[in-house]
Amino acid sequence: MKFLCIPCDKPLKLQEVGDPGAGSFSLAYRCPSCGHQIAMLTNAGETQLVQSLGVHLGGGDGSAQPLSALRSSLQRVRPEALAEDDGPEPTWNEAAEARLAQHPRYVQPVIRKTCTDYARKRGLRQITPEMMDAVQRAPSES
Amino acid sequence: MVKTYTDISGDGGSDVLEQVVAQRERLAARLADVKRIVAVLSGKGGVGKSALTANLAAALANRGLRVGALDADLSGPTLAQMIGARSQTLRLSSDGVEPAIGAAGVMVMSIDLLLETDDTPVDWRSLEGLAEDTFVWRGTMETTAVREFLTDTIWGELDILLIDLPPGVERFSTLARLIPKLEGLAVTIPSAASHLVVRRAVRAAQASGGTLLGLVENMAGYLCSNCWEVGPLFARQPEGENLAAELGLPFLGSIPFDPRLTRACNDGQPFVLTHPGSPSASALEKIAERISP
Repeated sequence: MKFLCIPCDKPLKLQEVGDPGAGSFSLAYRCPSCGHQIAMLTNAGETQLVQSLGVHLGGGDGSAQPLSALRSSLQRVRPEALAEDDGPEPTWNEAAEARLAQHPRYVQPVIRKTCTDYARKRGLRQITPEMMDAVQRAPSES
Repeated sequence: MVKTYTDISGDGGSDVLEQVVAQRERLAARLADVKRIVAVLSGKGGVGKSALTANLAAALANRGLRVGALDADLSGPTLAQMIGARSQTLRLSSDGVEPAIGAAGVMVMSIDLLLETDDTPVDWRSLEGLAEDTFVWRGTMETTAVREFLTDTIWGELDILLIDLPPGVERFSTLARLIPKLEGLAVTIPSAASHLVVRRAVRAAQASGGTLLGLVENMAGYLCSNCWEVGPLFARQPEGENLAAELGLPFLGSIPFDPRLTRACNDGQPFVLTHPGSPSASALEKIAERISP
């Protein structure tokens, strides 16, 4: 949408975007020539549509988090689904690697990821056969 | 005479168009190191797109290729289940989100990985008073979600990214607007009802300028576990090869129905890896060979 100052025949420039606290954007525009101001007010449906595009009126600040629109729009997200990167991956001791190698090759990447998730969630830095047993006992908690 | 919309350059500062362009550029940058992107489409539901996607991804990864798999079916996501990647934690970093890891090391992304429980449907948050009008903007939100999965997942250098599309004749052409180099793999089953919808989906994909690698016929007969003969699964089965010829597509193969394949999907262990050499697995391997970059 664009706004035109008819007397000046010049496009209005966006000055300010109000926070859509009540489901309505308030966008203030000003003519660069005569200074005339207007405000565009969106209804809840229009606000919702803009937000579902994953854009920000007035420009994004470039600091959007990964999956930002999705995470802010999904009603219920599994608590363990997402985690901040917290440093190097846990290491595997020799016995755990040997235990992993006993599984079919195609399953090993999944086991490795599941055990890594389990260890990271608990702040553990090394994966052992005992931990692999714990993961097997409670896989849904990893 | 008052100026028209196109007479005015820029958008006065809302920056919406520039942000949409920037979204497309970030998506293109993320996928620049992916050699081949193939959407598995049908138009029809229940033909086995997800099972085919999971097994092809696993077969290709088992050959040593770097493979990604995106579940674009937001309403009925099953890919993570079928490839053994459920309930994993996705790590966030400044570069994006690390995908889940499925069988044979396939990198997987799906909304199923985010949903709270097995009973949780995809439910979009709406502004107050708009809950009943969710249908108005649901399509936009779903497209945004798929775009974010594609853009923000740290896929890395992939040989192939498979995308499991939901049912719907227009799905491929919608995705092709986001991914210009998108190719398609059409799936049918030997039933007239399926052929009816697949024809429309293929024509819609072709009309959008998309390249289709070929047609696969799934559930092409029932494999008897006693005598290993393949008999008809559907009455008066129309031939997939004929449909492919009619649509101008290469016919990539027929996959017989094997009940063990369904169990393997339920267990999250791709059948192509658990039963190598079986008729269905052999058919899947041949199709994987045909679409390998």
